[in-house]
Amino acid sequence: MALAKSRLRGRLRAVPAAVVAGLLLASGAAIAQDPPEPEPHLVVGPGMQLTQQRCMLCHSVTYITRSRLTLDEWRDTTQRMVRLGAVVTPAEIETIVGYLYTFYGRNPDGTPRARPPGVVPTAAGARGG
Amino acid sequence: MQRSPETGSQPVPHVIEDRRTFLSRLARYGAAAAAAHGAMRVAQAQTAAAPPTPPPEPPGSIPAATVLAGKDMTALRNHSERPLILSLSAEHHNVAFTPTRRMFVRNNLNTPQVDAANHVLTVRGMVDRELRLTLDDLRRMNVWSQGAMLECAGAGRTAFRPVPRGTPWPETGGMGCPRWQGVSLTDILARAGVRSGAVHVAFFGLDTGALPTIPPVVRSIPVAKAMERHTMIATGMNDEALAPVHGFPMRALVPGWAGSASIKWLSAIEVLPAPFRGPYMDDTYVMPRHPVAAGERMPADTVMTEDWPIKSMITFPGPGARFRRGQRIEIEGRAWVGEGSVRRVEVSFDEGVSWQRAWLDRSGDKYAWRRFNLEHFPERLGFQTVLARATDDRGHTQPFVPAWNPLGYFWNGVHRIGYTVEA
Repeated sequence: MALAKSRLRGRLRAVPAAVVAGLLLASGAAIAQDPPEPEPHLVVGPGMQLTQQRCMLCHSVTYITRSRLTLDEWRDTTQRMVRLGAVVTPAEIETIVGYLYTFYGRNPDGTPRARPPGVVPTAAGARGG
Repeated sequence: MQRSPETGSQPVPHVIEDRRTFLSRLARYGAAAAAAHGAMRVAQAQTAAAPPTPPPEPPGSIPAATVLAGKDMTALRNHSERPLILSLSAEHHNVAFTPTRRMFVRNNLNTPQVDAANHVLTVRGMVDRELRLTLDDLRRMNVWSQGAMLECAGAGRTAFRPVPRGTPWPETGGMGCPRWQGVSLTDILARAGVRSGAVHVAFFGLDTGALPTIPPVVRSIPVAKAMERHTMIATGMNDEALAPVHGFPMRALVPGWAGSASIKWLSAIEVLPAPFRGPYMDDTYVMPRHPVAAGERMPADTVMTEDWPIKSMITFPGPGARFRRGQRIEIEGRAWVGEGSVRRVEVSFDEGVSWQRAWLDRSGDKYAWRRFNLEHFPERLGFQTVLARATDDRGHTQPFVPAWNPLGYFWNGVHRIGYTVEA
């Protein structure tokens, strides 16, 4: 057993490039691939209008739709925008951060946060009625 | 666009226009924004869902649509119109120098319409003589030309795992190597006379923000880099006047360094006793001083992004190419490094198990990319890959997986392209 392990270690040392190439594949940093196109519309929900009005002065809506952030990260991002000149009241920040985390949230393990049932991207809403 | 003379040399100037201009801009823009918001609200009430119409760009801005009309959108990818962000993938870089129509764009705010005839570049701070230079003044100085890389610090961000937040730059694309015409910053600083004790040199941009509360885009660099003769105040790109989106009538060019230092629409140069403090210095373009594990938060101890590490990309073949067995393929690419020089480039056809030295063109301007190529006759059938890695004169070689950092800067991983060989 010990012998097998040490032989394995020797082999690992002998072919580090191949091992690293394996890691590369495992890490997902694989063949050049474009990120997917983000949705061009926000999901309808409480706080959407305010979020749209405040954020879209400076940002395409895809800045939001391409993102999935934790509550802390959305709070931090919003605070950064205030330092960059965004004009929002503290109450508005709470509404906006709540909206962003509810619909564009991320769990601590990196998976997208489940959205409340029944939400639709605005374009789908338009088609529906 | 001409703003009022900028006064004072406070380290954190927030609004560089006088009160009356500020108020009139606010009133004009407020009305436009209110109308847009009103329209948005009506649309919302009617359909609960119309695609949102963005409010107009602030006065004094060139609309994104106008900029896009001057760009080759068959090759560039549009990541965002507000702020405008365009990238060019590796296979489109198979040229000697990047044409202006294919040069990437990474705006922080909007593209300002600057009135070149009335534009004045102020040189101030720790100098013996304050200068006020017009475009004509610069043209009368020693104007010279160089090919030089410009690359956003976040270029390649989406190759990191997990993907850090920020512009989702593809693995290659937030960079280009055009030819620049301008005056060495050191010539301008010599004219002004830099006082002893100067540490950083700050560049002030005229980027137009959507609200008067939005601070100007300002970045500073160490005096030594500012005095290096390749650091220039550029007035031209590819032997034409700068295009509006690339900084007309003048911009900083800090070759080899994170692109954010190369402030566009340059209005002022300020010599400072310390690095400039502001959102574009403190909140972004910083990295952990000591690496952190993937996914961790930014630690308190950070360093500013400076020169790009050694990097390369395969410009031929492009992804998904198809070849015949035994056909001659000339693998081609570009390699560059922020400071120093490219020593060698190697290519692998077996996922990095073995490497072959590529031919490397060592000639060219100091900060321009270097061309490499390698002849290859594929024998195996089916899908296969080609990898490239470069090494610089300090012995640094591109890693497979560069150190992760919270803002996703300086991706310089080995580039890998897949293609298919048929009988």
